[in-house]
Amino acid sequence: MTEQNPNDTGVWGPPVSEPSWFMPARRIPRADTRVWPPPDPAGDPRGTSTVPIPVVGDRPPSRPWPGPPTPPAGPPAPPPGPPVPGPGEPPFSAAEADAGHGGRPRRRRRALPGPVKVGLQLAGALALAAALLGVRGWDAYDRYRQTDPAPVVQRVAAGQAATLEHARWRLLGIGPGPEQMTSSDPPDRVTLQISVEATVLDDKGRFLNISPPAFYLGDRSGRTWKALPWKSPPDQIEPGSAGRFTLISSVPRPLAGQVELEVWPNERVAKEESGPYLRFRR
Amino acid sequence: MIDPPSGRPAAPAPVSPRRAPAWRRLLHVAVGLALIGGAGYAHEFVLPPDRLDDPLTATGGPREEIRMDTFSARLEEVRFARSVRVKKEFGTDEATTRQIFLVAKVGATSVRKPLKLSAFLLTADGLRFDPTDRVDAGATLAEKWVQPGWWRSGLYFFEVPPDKVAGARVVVTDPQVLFEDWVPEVAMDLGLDEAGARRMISEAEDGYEVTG
Repeated sequence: MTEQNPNDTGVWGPPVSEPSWFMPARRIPRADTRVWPPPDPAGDPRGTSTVPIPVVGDRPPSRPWPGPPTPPAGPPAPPPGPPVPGPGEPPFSAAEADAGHGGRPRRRRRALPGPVKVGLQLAGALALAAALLGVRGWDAYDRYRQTDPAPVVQRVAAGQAATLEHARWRLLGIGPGPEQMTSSDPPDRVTLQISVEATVLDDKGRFLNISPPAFYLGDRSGRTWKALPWKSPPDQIEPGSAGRFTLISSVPRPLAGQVELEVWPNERVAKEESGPYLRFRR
Repeated sequence: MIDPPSGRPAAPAPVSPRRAPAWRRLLHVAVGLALIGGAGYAHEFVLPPDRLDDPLTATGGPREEIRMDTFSARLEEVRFARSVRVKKEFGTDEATTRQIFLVAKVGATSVRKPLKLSAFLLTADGLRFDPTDRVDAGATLAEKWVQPGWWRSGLYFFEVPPDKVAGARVVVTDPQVLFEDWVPEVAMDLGLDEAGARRMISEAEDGYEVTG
């Protein structure tokens, strides 16, 4: 323990050499200033502290405390000794407890019978477990839906056109396939030929042939069959002009009259079944 | 506690609640321990993080139809070849190997939508063989659409050392575009033991022909 220097701030020792630009003269210690409690504001000499509660306005002085209640001058007090509570009487009777709450009778909580209590606890545990599983499942589903959104179908009436991304699509017709393909059909399925017309809307849709959308034929129960481009439009389509795809697809023979064309923006979203797509009514 | 104003002395401290009998307390302890042990044991069923993305695999024998939710598959035939000839529109590609070509003929059908199924071979000691690239993929089932409503048969070619064949399985799976959990998978046992594999490999043919 070194000797206490009254000028030492306790942080840095004073510089040993004479003052220079690098080591200026030692600082003069500041005089003490009062920082707490904060100094009184000039206009309000009263303290701003709320402890004790300040006198508000010009209230008449409250009445003095009347003092402790005097014991009633009745029969003399029972002889000292531990009072024996009655058989059913709790040591601190309800009537005495209620006296402090304005005299209103408070409902006493009755103990639940054992089976009811256990049943309530079990029901609570089951409800909490179900809530935990539900929240976790909902969270996982929500995250899954954020990565691949739900499919949004746009149903197109027969003969109408609809827009998908950079082109406007119109179904020209679904009919039996060409002779050389249908001749080798097995008895349970049939080859269909589909004609679709695409009108390119902007510059990004020019290369429809190079990155074609995914075509499928779908039945009412949700099964789909691949429709592959057989004849494609030229490699580059000017915006505003139309190109025609001829597609070939095989479907079960009983469904040949009911399958509808589905157009997805690309193969990836078609495989994941997410996002908007077109479905043409026949 | 405040004395009541009547001047009576304070009530005595409340008596401690009656303690449960010993057998009951023991029962409570036992139930608590059983619950803790059950909770710990339930963690046995939680998959470790590195197994969370394992595929869902259905297994079966040869010539047995194995169903998954999205597709069904069956192993129709297994043959061995020392060389494979792929006949194309113009010319023929010949693939040879110092090992052996395992030719698996697999039939498959889809449940809801068209699929392209990829395959690999899993040997008994856990080695995984992808289909060989000496045979053009266009001649295999991997490049053909498997659609709902009918069965489609096709071949997969694996180039394997002859001593790894016994006990191997052909696994057919639906490849996912992005990383995805619970990829469906069908594992088909070749049904070959050591002797059967040796006999079939000794009968391997030269120049197995396939149209690509």
